[in-house]
Parts: sequence; structure tokens; C-alpha cells
Amino acid sequence: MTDVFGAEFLDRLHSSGAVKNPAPFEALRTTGFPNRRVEAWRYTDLASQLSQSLTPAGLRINQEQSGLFGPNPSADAVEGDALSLLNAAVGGEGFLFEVPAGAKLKPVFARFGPMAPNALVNATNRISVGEGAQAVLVERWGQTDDSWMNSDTAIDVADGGHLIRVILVEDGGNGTQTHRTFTALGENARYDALVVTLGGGLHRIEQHADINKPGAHAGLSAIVLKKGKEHSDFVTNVRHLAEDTTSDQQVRTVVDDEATAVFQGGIKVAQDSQRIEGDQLSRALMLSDRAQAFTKPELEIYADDVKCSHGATVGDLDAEALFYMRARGIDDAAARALLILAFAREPFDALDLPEQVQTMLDGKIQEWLGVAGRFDEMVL
Amino acid sequence: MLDIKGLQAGLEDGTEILKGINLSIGAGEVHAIMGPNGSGKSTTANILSGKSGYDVTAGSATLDGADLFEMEPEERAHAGLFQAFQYPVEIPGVQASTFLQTAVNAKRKVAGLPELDALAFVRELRAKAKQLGIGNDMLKRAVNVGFSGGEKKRFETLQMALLEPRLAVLDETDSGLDVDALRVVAEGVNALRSPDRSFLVITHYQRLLDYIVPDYVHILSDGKIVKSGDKSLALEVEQSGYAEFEAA
Ligand SMILES: Nc1ncnc2c1ncn2[C@@H]1O[C@H](COP(=O)(O)OP(=O)(O)OP(=O)(O)O)[C@@H](O)[C@H]1O
Ligand SMILES: [Mg+2]
Repeated sequence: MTDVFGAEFLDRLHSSGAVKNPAPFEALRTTGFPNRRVEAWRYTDLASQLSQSLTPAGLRINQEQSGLFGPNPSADAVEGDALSLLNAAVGGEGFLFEVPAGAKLKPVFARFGPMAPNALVNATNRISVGEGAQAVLVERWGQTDDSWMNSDTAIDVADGGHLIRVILVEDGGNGTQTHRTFTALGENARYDALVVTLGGGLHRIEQHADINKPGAHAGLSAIVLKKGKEHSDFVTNVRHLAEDTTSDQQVRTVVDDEATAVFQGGIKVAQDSQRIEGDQLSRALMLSDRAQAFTKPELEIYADDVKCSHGATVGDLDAEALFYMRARGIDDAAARALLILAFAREPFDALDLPEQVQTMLDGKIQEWLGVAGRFDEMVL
Repeated sequence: MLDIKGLQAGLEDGTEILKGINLSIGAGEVHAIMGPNGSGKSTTANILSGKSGYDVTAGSATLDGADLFEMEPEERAHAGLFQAFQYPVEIPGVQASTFLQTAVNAKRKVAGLPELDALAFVRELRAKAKQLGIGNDMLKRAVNVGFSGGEKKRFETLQMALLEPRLAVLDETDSGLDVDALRVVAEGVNALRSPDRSFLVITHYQRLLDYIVPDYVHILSDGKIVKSGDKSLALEVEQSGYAEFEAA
């Protein structure tokens, strides 16, 4: 029984002395990491990650505002899959972000990176938004080398609270980022998440949300921009566990070269959860014949009074629009960039992002397209 | 300025549409083309602009001596060609003003002029939009998205005013306009008339030609120009239709 997937990786981890919690480590040692025969991992292969020799390291936290932000002392393990076990085994310390009840915060910006190159960074984070509080948290996870950043974030938004959370995952190198979020929502609470993933080798971002009380809403959206041999796997799993709740998932994917992007979008409605609205729309643009985009909607609905819509399209740029722009003297590359930018911006519509946050993200998209600053929204 | 000689063209599947068009437009001239639905008016304009989906099987088209068919669509625009489309395309998510600034600067760049920054551009944009009765609100919206038929035509005219082409091909720019809008758009066109700018005006209605008075009127029928004359030809069409001009 030594040949579970990733056994040698775990042996190396063990001999490096990084294992702090034997129980999750033993559990992981028994099951191994998920290979591609596991349905949820069908499109994503961890083989090359697990063949690496990485040095366990802590999370570097940089945030603009102090006070609300600090290290997470409890680092309780979160119930996830093998990667959560890995995190728990190493006892990765993360951040704690607490918004007191009733507080209305200006956007908080935080950056996370590894301490050293070729690091294995594990982090367990907690975000708690008090009753009626409103916060915008912008997280930037990034690295320039080939590290692996792995985290679990537990969020709870109390009754009437609203958290807008932007997770910008951007790597200059060939790094790996695997981040899972588990959100619990109280009555009339809102969680609006927007994941933006750029660069990197492999990014797998999971957003799990439990809508536990009536009137609550979960928005789990993503903008996925991939080129080269980059790989992205965006996973959502929203569970409507109370009546009168809504969810929305807007995923826009642009894949170029030989990149791959996957969206596995789950909506589950429990038996007694009536009057539910769940929307999901995944649209992908393929800029190259060798690029791939996969969408796997997973709807499990056990109640009757439910309006769930889901749609998935894969396409190319609108040829009529391209010609129209070229006929006005806009060259082909700029015309394409304008159309891709418009497409990638679509998830902004469903979110009420503060202007400075949207401008920052817009800048990132333009940069990705090689047209930095050229197509900023004009003020009239 | 524009010379079309023996132009034959059709769809890529071999369907013939244009069956030998000859048309010469001198600098400063206004030519009108009238003709029944489906006679090939828009096809002529589209082929001049370089729209894909058509095959030119014979003939030539030059603008100021340069072979249009050798150029990409954007190069034709840079050379001074402008087509106001019969059916302007909606481009969701692309702000009208950004689109206009990009187009204007692309042309300036090719002409060796410095690009206009947002401030300078907005000043010029506002002035020209105002003349055409286009408010800020429309310029903030996405290109043609949710514009009424008449607003789309005004927006085409605004693009022409900003891009200051050598040759403007107006494909039914009058259709869908109310009487007041028609006058505003026609005034916009007339304001651009100059000895070194020419117009090819495609229309079904003599009324437009009361405002934009043409030097020549041509009747296009079944892919051929079957008659050319002065502005009185338009009146003749208005009164008795196309039957007498139908290609034999
Ligand atoms: N891309 C195309 N695909 C299929 N048919 C086409 C295409 N373009 C033109 N045609 C056909 O070619 C013929 C000429 O069309 P065109 O649009 O040039 O007519 P028109 O003279 O502009 O007519 P109208 O007055 O109705 O605008 C029509 O029969 C039309 O259906
Ligand atoms: Mg037409």
C-alpha cells in the first residue's frame, strides 16, 4: 500500500519535518491525492506538482490596512479533500479577517506570496463578517517562481452581512495555486466572490457556499484568462439549504495557445428549499485551435419551486463586429483586444465593485491582452 | 478619386451579384445610386470596404489610384474610405466613445499625427456629437447597443464626421430617420462637402437628394448600372418606379 498517488511526495514532506499534525497526514497517506479517475479531478492532473521537491514555507501577508487583518491563530482544519488534509497536516497558518457587526469598510487590499522560491505554502484562513457589516476584500495571490500555494478559507457572513471578495490569482512563473473557500451564509446575508486567474502553471480555485438561511445570496463568478500551457480549473458548489435564496455564477473564460480551462459548476437545492433562483452562465472564447475549454454543470435539485438556469457557450469572436471595427481603421489586433476585453468584463455587471477595484482588475485584463491602459473606460 | 472598372463579384458559393459595374467618381462629386431591393447596392459598398464572404471575379477598384482589393479593411479606411452601413453592427461591452477614440487615433497614427489623449478627444467628440444631436448618454453606451434605428444612423454620421474620409459611401443612411433627423444628418453630410471629398449616396428616396444634391444619379439593377443621369433621374424613379430601367 505504498503506491497511493503522491506517496513519494508525502514521504519527502514527512522527512522534511514539516508534518505537524499526524492525524490528517495519516489520512492523506492512506488515500493519497486524487488522480484523474476521481470525477472532480477529471481534467486536472497533479502529477507534475507531486513530482516536485518543494520546501514547506509560511505565507507572507501584506495588507494595506492594519487592525482588521491578522494571523489566524486557530488554524482549524477545514473539511475538504486531500489538499485540505495536506494543509491540515502541515498546519499552515493563514490570515484572519474579522469585520465587526455593523461596520462598513472601505475596500481592504491584501497580497499573499511565498517567503522563498520553490516553496510549498499552506494556509488556513478565516473571514468573518458580523451582522449587518459590509466589506470588500481584495486578495492577490501571486508569485514569480514555481512555488505551490495551497489554502483553505472558511468564511461566515452573519445575518444581513455582505462580503464582496475579489480573489486575483496571478503568477509570473509556472507556479501552482490551489485554493478552496467554504462559505456559510446567514439570513439575508450576501457573499459575492469574483475570482480572476491569470498566468501560472496550474490554478484550481474552488468556491463552496452553503446558503443556510432565507434571503441569502451567493455569487460565485470568475474571469479566467489563460495562454501558453496554463491550466485552470474553477469549481463551484453552491448549496441552497434554505428557502427564498438566490445564487449566480458568471464565468467568462478566454483560452489561447495550448491553454486549458475547466469550469465545474455545481448548484444543489435541498428538498425543502422552495422559491430558489439559481443562475449559471459559462461562456468561453477560444483564441486558438489547440486551446481547450470544458464546462461541466452539475445541478441537483430536490425541491419543486425552483428556477435554475444554466448555459454554456464556446465560441469565437463576432466576425461582424470585427469587420465593423476594421472598416473604421482599427487594426485586427486592436479590434480583437476590444472584443475580448468587453467579454472578460461581463462578470463586473453582476457585482457592485468599488470603482478603484474594478479599475485595477480592468487594468490587469488589459495588461494580459497586451493593451495596458489603452482602453480604459472614458469619463464623459 | 474612385474608379470602379468592370467589377464582377458574387458570393463565395459562385452566386453572381455584380455583373460588370463601371463607376468613376471625381474629387468633390456627389453620386447617388438608386435601385430595387437586392440589386447589389450594399454588395458594391461591402466589396469596396473589404467585407469577407464575397469573391471578386473580374474588374478593379482604385481609390486615388491605389488598388482597394490589395488592402485590408483597416488599410482602406486609412486610405480614406468610409462606409456608413445600412445595418450598423451592435458591439456589446465596447463603449462607443472608446471605439471612436480608437478609430480616430488609428487613423492619425497612420497619417503620422500624434494620438489624441482622452481630454482632447472628448472635446472634439462633444462638439461633433452636438451638431448631430447626439448626447453624452449615447456615447457612454456600448456601440449601437440599444440604439434606435435613427440613432444608429446618426452614430454612423458621427463616425464619418470624426474620421473625415476622402470618400464616404452612405448606404441608406436616410432610412429609419424622422424628418427632423433626416435634416440633421443631411446637414452633417453637407458640412463635410468639400472639393477634395466625395460621396456615394445609396438611397431609395428622392427626398434625401433634396438635401444632399447629387451631381450624378445612377440606377443599379440586377448588378449593373443601367442608367446614369443628373438629379432629375431620381425624380423620374420616384414617379414611375424602376420597371422601365430593368435590365433586359
Ligand atoms: N452575404 C450574403 N449572403 C447571401 N446573400 C447575399 C449576401 N450579400 C448579398 N446577398 C444577396 O445579393 C443580392 C444583393 O444584395 P444587396 O444587399 O447588395 O442588395 P441591395 O441592393 O443593397 O438591396 P436593398 O435595397 O434591399 O438594401 C441579394 O439577393 C442578397 O440576398
Ligand atoms: Mg442594401
